[in-house]
Amino acid sequence: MTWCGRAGEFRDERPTILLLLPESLKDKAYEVGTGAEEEGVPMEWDFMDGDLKTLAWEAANRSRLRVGIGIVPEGCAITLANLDPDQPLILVENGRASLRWFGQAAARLVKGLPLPPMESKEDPEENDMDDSKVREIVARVLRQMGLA
Amino acid sequence: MPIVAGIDIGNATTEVALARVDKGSVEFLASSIAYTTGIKGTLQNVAGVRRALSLALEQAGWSREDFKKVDLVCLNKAAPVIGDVAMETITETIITESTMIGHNPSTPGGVGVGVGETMTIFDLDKVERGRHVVVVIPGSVNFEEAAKMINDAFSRGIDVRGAICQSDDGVLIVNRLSKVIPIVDEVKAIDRVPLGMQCCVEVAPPGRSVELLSNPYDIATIFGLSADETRQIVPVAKALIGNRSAVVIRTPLGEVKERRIPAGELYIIGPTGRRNINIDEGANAIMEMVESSWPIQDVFGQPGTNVGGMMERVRKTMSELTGLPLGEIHIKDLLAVDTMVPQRVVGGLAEEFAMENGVALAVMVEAQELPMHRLASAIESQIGVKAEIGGVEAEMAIMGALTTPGTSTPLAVLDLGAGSTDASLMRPNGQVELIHLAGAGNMVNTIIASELGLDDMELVENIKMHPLCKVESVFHVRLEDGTVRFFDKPLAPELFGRVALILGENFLSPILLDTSIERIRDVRRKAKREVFVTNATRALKRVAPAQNIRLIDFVVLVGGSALDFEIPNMITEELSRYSVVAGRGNIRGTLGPRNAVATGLVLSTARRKIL
Repeated sequence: MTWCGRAGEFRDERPTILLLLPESLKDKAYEVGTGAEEEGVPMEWDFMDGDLKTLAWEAANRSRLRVGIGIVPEGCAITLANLDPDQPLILVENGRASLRWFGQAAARLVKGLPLPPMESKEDPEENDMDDSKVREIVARVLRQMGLA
Repeated sequence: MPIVAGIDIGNATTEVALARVDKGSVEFLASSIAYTTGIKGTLQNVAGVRRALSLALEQAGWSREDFKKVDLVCLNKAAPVIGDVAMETITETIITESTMIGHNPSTPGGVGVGVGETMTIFDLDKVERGRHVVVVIPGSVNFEEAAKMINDAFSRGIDVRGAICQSDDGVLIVNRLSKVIPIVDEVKAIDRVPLGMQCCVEVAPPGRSVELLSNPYDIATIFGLSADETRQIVPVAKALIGNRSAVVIRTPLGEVKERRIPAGELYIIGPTGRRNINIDEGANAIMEMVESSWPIQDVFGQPGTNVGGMMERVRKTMSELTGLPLGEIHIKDLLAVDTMVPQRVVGGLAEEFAMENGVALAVMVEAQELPMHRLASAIESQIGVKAEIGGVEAEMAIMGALTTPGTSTPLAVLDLGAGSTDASLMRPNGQVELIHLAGAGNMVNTIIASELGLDDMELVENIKMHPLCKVESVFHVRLEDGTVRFFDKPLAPELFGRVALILGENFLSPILLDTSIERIRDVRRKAKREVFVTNATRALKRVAPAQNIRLIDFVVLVGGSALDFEIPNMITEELSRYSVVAGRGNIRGTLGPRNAVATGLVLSTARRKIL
């Protein structure tokens, strides 16, 4: 059984998560797909150029599971078809999470399970926080508290 | 016209009732509440008193620091009981140093049972044909390499029966194999899996839990164990119950060690002498012993055991707080509640926990007298208001409770606090009976914390006080009663799929536990019922005429825990079986169950001043 393939190449009519990405990032698709496969949800991918939010939203609206992933060189986003196109559910820039995490998170959204913990790629040299990192953490905490 | 402030210093909160008293007529001006600072009855309380009093002054339309407006402060004459309740869960600790893996990775691979010898995946090419093998796959090998190596082994006739994998790759590997085998993944301590040993891997189908590895006799069958060896494997089987996937590895004799820390015996000293009871007999047996030894003179624990250590710590803490010698600290009541405690299994490879039976204990310590007069003079010197000790607390609570519309004597007041549950009853002739029992809101917290394995006490307090919901989509949640609530803004992704607490109108806080909403709700309700319903009936029996609750007409619930969203209903339901009218008080018709003692202090002062 295929778990990950280009849109239209699946022989069966299974519902899938859709990933949209520019052709230059072609080899990333498989890595995202493995995350979804481990969760038991199939994923298709297709090429599209555009900004991150558009890719994710377009993907969600073309997906039969209504969950879409967008990837550009600067980051990744996951969103649902019924969300505001400008406000994807998850948007991570500068690759703080692995590609596989995105596949897994998208699959969990389909299954209604809590998202997996974001495995931060710890770089031992970057242990001291700069301002932007602190800001990012504060923003995340505020979001968690429902204040932002 | 004098202004009187009644101040009730409780274990958790300090409450103030501010009133203008004129020839017996009382006009209430303000009521306020602040956290008690320090342990009840100590000089640290002054800060909380000052704060509560200034809040009341502000409410009455005066300046916050205008303490001169108050002519008299009346403190409650707290009963000689230190209501701070010590609690600890006593459990028999089993430490199993055998090698087992039992955990619930969200996505194990394959399904079925596989038995073979453990071997790293790098050694597969050295194995001769026909051997039964369980491969161990470290995180450094990715799933495609791993699948290829196992498929190659299959084609060489090596019987790979199962796999243990460090990364979350179980499904990915199985999807790429020519034959389905069970794979347990997310095993963190993969390097501690012993190699070259007989091993059994079991993965149950979705919605089921392991059947063979949770049954000692099946483990015995698989590994050919003797009766003695089977006895040793029981803790392993027990720890694996309820897991979807598990691994048991047969380690040569001598590597399975077990250590038991006995829970110990309680020595309860009553009018008929000392009686002993083992904690292992459970809460019911302990409570029966407490009842039959009433009135308790003291309680000790067996030295060198869990419970012995706990009782000594209680005495030591109380002795330090009061300055009384250890010998003068007596434990006068004890509440035991059965609970389950997650215990880490030492020797497990994936942070396994086993649920052990435990007994949570709350004890009530009685010292000679609380130094309230010291507190009164401290208030006079630090705040500058004349302070005196008012009447007996029980009487005050009843006078306050009687301001609840629809009540009359004979009336019993159940004061559901944080540290203790108190009952007082006023007979028609005005005589007052009073009892303080161990166990209240704080013990509910202890039980919730231990059963859910939490150490964040703020989260525990929130679980106790707020209803739960399950976030089912980014736009809606299902509440614990089954109703659904829609949100017009998407909820944060951190909430998705989680059980959350409804802390405010639009404020959800996720509970980061891998536990169902039903279980959290059950734990919460059971803890409340076992503490408060048990103590309500126990306390009322003690004060009721002829120990018969049916002879009480009215029961008014007051105190902080009476504000809880379900405890008053549980008690009302239970007491309706005795045909008693019971309900949450409504002090002065407006304040709910708060401020009873403070209000009573003002009323009794007013009465005394005209006499």
